[in-house]
Amino acid sequence: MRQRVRLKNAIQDAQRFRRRAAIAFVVVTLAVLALAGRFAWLQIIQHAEYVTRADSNRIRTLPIVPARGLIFDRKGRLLADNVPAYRLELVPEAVGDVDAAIQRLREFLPLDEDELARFQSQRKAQRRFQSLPLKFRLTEAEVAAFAVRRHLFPGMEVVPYLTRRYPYGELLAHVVGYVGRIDEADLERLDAAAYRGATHVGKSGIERYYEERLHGHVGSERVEVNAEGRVLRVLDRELAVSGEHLYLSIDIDLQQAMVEAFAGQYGTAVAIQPSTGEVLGMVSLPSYDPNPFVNGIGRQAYADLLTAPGRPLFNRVLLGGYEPGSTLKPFVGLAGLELGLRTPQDTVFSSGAFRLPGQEREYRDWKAGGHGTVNLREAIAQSVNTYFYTLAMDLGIDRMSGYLQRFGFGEPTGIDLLGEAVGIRPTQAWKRATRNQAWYPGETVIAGIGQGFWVATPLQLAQATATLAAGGVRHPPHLLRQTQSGFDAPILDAPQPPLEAPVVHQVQNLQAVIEGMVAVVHGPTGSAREMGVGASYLIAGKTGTAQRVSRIGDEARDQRTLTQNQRNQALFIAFAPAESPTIALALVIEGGGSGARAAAPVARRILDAWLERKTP
Amino acid sequence: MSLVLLARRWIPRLLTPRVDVPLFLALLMLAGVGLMTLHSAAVGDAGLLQAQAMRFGFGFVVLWVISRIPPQQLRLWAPWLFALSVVLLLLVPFLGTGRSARSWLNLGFFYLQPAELLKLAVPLLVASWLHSQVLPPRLGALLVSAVIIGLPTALIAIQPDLGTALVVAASGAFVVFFAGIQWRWIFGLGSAALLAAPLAWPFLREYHRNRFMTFLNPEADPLGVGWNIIQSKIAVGSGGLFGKGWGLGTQSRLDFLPEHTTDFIFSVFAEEFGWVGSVGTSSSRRLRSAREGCSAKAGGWVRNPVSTSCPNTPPTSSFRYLRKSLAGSVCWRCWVFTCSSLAAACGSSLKRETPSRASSVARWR
Repeated sequence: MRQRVRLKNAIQDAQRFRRRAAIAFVVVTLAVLALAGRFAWLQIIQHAEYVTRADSNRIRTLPIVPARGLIFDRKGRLLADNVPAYRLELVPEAVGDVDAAIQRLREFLPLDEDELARFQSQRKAQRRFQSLPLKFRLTEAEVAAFAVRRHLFPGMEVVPYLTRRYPYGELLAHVVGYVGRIDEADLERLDAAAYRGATHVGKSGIERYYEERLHGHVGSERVEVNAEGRVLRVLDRELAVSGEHLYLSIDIDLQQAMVEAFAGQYGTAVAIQPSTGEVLGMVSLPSYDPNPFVNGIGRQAYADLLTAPGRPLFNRVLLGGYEPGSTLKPFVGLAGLELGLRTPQDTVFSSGAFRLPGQEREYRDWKAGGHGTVNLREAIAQSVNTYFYTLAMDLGIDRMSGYLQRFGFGEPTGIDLLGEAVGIRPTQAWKRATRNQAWYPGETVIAGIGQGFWVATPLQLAQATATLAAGGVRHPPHLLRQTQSGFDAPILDAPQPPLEAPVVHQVQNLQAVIEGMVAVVHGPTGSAREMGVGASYLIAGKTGTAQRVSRIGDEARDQRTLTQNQRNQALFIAFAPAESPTIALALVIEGGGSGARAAAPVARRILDAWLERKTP
Repeated sequence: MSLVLLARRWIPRLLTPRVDVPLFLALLMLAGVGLMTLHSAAVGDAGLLQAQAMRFGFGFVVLWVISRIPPQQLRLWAPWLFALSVVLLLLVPFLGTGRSARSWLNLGFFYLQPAELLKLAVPLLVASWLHSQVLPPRLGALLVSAVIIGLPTALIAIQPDLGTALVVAASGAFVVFFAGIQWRWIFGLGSAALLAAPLAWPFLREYHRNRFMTFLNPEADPLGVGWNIIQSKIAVGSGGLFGKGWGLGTQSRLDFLPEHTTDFIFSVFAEEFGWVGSVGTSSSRRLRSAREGCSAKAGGWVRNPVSTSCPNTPPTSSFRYLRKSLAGSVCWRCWVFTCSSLAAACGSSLKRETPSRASSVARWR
C-alpha cells in the first residue's frame, strides 16, 4: 500500500490565505466598529454625564466664612468682639514626621493633652496636604519663641485668624454666653450648607439664641483643584455677608453694680425696664469666664468649673427654681382685690397662728403673738401671713393660681435666651397630673404666702414685678434692643414683643397694692424699712424668705446637711421710683437668711446705682 | 573582499527609494498625533517629549533599514532572532529590573524588554516554519508551532506579565490562522479554551482576578482599583464628539487620570480630540498601518515559495506584493517595538491599544 504524499500547492495556499485574510479583515473591521460604537456610547450618548463627572472632579466650591456680628450693650459698649489671634498650623505632608516635630515643639511651646488629642483626631480625618490647627491663641511670647526657631519646623506656620473675645469676661457670661467649636451635636442641628467652613457656633446665651443673625451668610468661591485637591485657581467668587451686630438692652454699668452689690454672695438678680420689658441687667453668681470656652476649654478646667462651689455654670436667672415666699403676697393681695373678695380696707386679725376649722395644725405668723388687726397695706408692709392665709382660703387654689398666671407665673417668659425653666404654679389639676394626689386645704393656706409647691424663676419674679410697675401691662422680658447689619448700616430698633392687654382691671386696686409695697420700705412698720433710709426716691418692694432650696435644674442638695441659715433664700422684689418706675428688680441671695436683712440692702445698692448713678 | 560584496549587495538595497507612501504617511501621522498628545499630557516636561521624538526618529531609521531587507533574508534570520530573544528572556529573571515584574534588561544605553522582541520573533519563526510545511498544517507542524509560541509565552507569563504573554501568543496564533489551520481545530481549541477558563480562575493571581472583576464592574471600588478605569472613562466620555481641544483636557491636566503620559495616554487623546479623533486614530492604526500586515508572515511566503530574487531583479507582481507586505509587517512591528520596548511613554499605550490582532489584518486592496 502506497502512502499518499501531500505536496505543497502554492495556488491553493494562496487562495486559502486570501480567504483567511478576508475573514480576518472582516473580524478586525467589526472589532473597530465595536470600538467606535463604544466610543460613541461614551463620548456622544453619555457625554453629558461624563462632562458633569469631569467637572465635579475638578471644580470645588470653597466657603468664605462670614465675620461674626458683634454684640454691644445699650450704650454701644462692646460685649463680644472678634479679635485677631494666632494659631499654629501644620501641613502633615510638609512636616514629614509629625510626632517627632511635635515633640521638638513641646520643648518650648506648652501643648496640653486635650489640644493634642483634638489635633490627632482631626489629623485622621483630613488629607495630608491640608493645613491643620495644632494650637490656638498663641501668646505673643509663644509666637516669638516659634518665630526664632521657624527654620527648624518646615511645614509649620503661625496663622492669624479672628477669634471671639468677651472683654467683660464673667460679668456677662450668663447673658452673652459664648461660641465654641462646632461639635457633633451641633452638626446634627445646623444647616450644613450655611456652616460650610465655619469652626465656631454659638453655644449659649445670646450667642446661641441669635446664632443665625450673628453668623451671617456664608460666601463661596469656585476653584479648580487637581486630583490631590490642591487649589490651582479661583474661577469665581461670591462674597460672604457678615453677621448682624446686636445691641442688647443690658447696661454694663448697672450689670457691674449688680455684681458689686452682691459683695461676693451667691445669688441672682434681674433688672427690667417696666415700660418696655427690656432687661437692664441680669446676674447669676458665681459666674465664669466664657473666654476659655471659645477655643476649647481643657478637660480639667471644665471639670473644675462643674464642681466649683456655687456651680458657676448654672444660670440661676433662667434655670434657678426658687420658692417665691412672701414676694408672692402683693400678687395674691391683688388677686383678692381684683376678684372682688377684698377691698383695700378689709381687715383681718392676726393672732400669731391660723387654724383651719377642725384641724389642729397651726399656720404661724413670723411675729410671735401676731400683728393685730391689719388691712391690705399693713398686711403687705409687715408681711402678715394670716391675712393671706384667709385670703387664700377664700380664693381657693385654682382661682389664685389662675390669677397669678396673668403675671406669668408657671409660664415661660419668652425671653430671648434658650432653655428657661417654667417653675411650678400649683393647681389641683397640676397636683393630680404630676403626683396623682388630691389637693389638701392646708396646701392652699401655705400657697397664699408663696410656699408649698410654688416654684418661680428670678426672671418670672422680675417680670411680674415689672408688670405691677407698668400699671398692670405685661411686657415680656427681652435682651435684644437694636440691630445693625454692618458698620455703615443704620441701627434699627429690634421689633418689640406685641403689647398685651393690661392684666389689672381696676387701677385703684393696683394702687393699693403698690401703697403696701412702698410701706414695706418707707412705712414705720415696713419689714424692710432700714433699706429705705436716706433714699432720694420712693421704692416699692417686698421681702421674701424661702425656707428651702428648690431647683428645677439638675442640682440636688441634701436638705439635712444644710444649716437653717443656708437653707433660707433671701428674696426681694422692688421697683422704683414708685410713682413712675424706671426699673423693676427681683433678686435672690442664696443662704442669705431673711429677705429684709440680706436681700433688701443689696437691692438698695442696685437701685441707687440705676437711679442715682452712683456707679463711677 | 566579502565586505565589498556585502556592501555591493546592501547599499543599493538601502538606497532603493521604493516606499509605501500611504503606510509611511499613516505612520508619520500616528507618530505626530502621539507626540502632540504627549505634549499635552506631559505638561511642562519637555524632556519627555524630546526623548519620545528621538525614539520615533530612531524607530524610523530602523524601519527604513529593515524594510530594505528581503523577506527571504528575514526568513533565514527568524530562528536566530527567536533564539536570541529567548536567551535574553531567560536572562531576565537574573538580571532584570522592573516595578511590578522583572521584565526589563539594562543594556547600558537603553532598557530592553525581551518580551517585545518576541512579539516580532514568534510570528516570524512560525511563518518561517509553516512556510516549509505542506499547508494546511498537519498535526506535527501544528505541534511544532505550538512549541514555538508556547515556550516564550510561558516564560513571559511567569515574569509575570500576562498581558504581553497573551499578545505574543496571539501574534503567533494568527500566523497559524493565516496558514490555513483547519476550522475544526480552531473551533475545537476555541471551545476547549472557553471550557478551561473557569478552571483557570483559582490559579490566577489575586491581582489578575481583581483586574478582571474591576473590568466587569469598576464602580465596586471607585477609589481603589476601579479608580483608573473610572477616571479614564470620565476622560473619554467628557471628550464628546470633537473633544475639549488640544491641551485643554482637565482629567489629565489636573492629574485625575493616572499614568496619563503612559498607560492612559489614549484617554488623554480621546478627551482632547473627542470621538472623531479617537475613531480616526484607532481605525487608521488598525486598518491603515496594518494593511500591510502580517500577510507576509504566512501568506507572503506561501504565495512565493520559490522566489529568491533580490530587488535588482524585475519583480513579479506577486513578489512585489510579498516584499511590500513583509516590509509593512516588519515596519509595523519595529514601530511597535521601538515605541514600547524603549520604555516609550506613548508607545506603551499604543501597545495596549494595538495588540497583535491589528498586525494580523490582511492587506486588502
